[in-house]
Amino acid sequence: MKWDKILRDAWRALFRHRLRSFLSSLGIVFAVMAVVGMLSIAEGAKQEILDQIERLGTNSVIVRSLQLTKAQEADPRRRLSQGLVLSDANALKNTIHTISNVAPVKEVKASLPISIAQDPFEILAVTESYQLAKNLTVRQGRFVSVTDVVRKNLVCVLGEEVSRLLGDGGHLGEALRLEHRTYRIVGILHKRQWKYSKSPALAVRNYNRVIFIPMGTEVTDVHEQTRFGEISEIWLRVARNENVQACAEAVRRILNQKHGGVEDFQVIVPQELLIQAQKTQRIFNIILGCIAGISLLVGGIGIMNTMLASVAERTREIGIRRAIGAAQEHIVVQFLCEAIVLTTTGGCIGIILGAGSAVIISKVAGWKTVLTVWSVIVSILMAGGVGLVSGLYPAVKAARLEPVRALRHE
Amino acid sequence: MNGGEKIVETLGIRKVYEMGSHKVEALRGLDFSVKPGEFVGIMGPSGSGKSTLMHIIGCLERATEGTYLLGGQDISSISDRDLSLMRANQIGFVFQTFSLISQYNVFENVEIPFLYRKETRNEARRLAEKAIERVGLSERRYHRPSELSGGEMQRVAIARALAVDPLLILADEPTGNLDSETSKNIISLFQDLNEQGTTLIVVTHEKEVASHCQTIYHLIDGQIVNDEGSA
Repeated sequence: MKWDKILRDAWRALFRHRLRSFLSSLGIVFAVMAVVGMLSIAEGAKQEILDQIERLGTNSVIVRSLQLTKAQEADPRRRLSQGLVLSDANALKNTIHTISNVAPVKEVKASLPISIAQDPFEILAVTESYQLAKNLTVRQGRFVSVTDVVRKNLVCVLGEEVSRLLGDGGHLGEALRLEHRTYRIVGILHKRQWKYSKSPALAVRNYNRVIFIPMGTEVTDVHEQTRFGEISEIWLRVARNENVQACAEAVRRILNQKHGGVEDFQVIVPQELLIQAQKTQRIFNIILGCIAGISLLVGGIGIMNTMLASVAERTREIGIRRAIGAAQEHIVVQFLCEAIVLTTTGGCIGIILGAGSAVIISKVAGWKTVLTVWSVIVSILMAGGVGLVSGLYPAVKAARLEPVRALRHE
Repeated sequence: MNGGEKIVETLGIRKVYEMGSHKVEALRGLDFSVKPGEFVGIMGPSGSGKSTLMHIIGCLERATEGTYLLGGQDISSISDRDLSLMRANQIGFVFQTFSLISQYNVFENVEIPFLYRKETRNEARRLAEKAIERVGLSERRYHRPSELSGGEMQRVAIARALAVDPLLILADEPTGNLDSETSKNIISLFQDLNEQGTTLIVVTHEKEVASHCQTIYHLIDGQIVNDEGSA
């Protein structure tokens, strides 16, 4: 077979009826455009979620303190629980041996220096283990140490942005006044990438805007805000990924027991979220596949219709070709090529439009969109496949025409 | 070639068309032969079976009964694919209505048969150019059929038939759509080709055309009633 000539002839035959070819390929164009556009959005969303889950750490278990509702507050059982407290963290550490690191965190509400009071900064009371839990790297000085926690040293570590905004007052050794206490700056963190998350469960702190103080030093100033020893979060790091699920179960069981069944805490397992996200992605992919399938089916019917019309009006040409030596398979290949060229061209246009629409969506709606190579390849193959399937019947019909009858056709 | 004598030989071929319950016998036990280099005319009234005979000789149709030998090879019961190969390699067709592909230029039309043959692209181009030159259309090789006269279109069809150097050329009413002057030119071209050794079978009802044939077969009701000339 002389493929270059066959493809050139196919292209010429389609170009001869360019309006008809264009209109009949519109179904494929829109189907592929929808597929590429939706895949880009889906891939973007997937990457964003995975990114956030990864940042939370797939070998982590997070316990968060929950605000009780009024009904729960009124429940007599409420008195059985002190809320999430430091002793919970210790109990988990001592009971579950698969945990390699426990980092209790307390969000502290305290007045900030005037120069940064307008900005939404966070003050976190932490222990030395928080650095490991969150992989925080120190640019200058050091992080909160065991000694700081034990001796309740009035020291603090600043996030990069806090240090910058404090100006001269944000350097190592400078004093920082929080509420009524003066803390000495002993460390400044490296700048860290941060992205806003719409999902509260996946929310990651912006560590550039955090002031860390040793756990316990905040008590004297702000103990009236919360009950004694109450903390906001416990970050648990599990030594091995495969133990995360079992560890999460143990955490739930131990805390339920300690809290007397009061649901004043929430256990977040990034690995579970990851599995959930993958399940959601699969469902989305199935729905997407169905939509794409229906669109392509409709597009394919249009192509088949066009090819049948083409065969009907070129019956004499088929007769001539058969008379001068074309075998049935030559005719099949000729018409199949036309159908595939038609749908593949439509597919290429669809990919360009789909990629364009993904860019527009990302700009207008602010969604992350990602155009992957595999989505382009799948789209092209799909378009070609539709051409193959929808062109097969007309091509076989053309090839089965009796040469003498085809020659007599006017 | 088997026997060395006959390019085409039909032995008792019958062709029956079934139209519902009605049967039409187009050829009734026909014996017919053509020798290499012969210029044969087939004449007869409408419905006499001329075109049917032409289609069977040209491997476009199969006979219902009988034997057909082309170049000594029995092709009465070969597959559709092999019939296509026969048409591609052994036979050149020239039709009354020229049968050119309108969107192709002269050169591309003459080149079509090579799409179904094994020649390389360069070889195909060379042979097509040579055939166009033989029919005197080199100057017009990039013209479309719509830009050509009837005579020129028929020359293109002849060039297409010639290009593959076939065993024989079959022409079905080749001058039927042409004026008398152009017809003479086409006949003259056929004669030239025949003198150069090409075997020709021409179906015609024009005596002028038939007068140039070495052998003329008269067909009536699917049977040869007499033949004239050297046969």
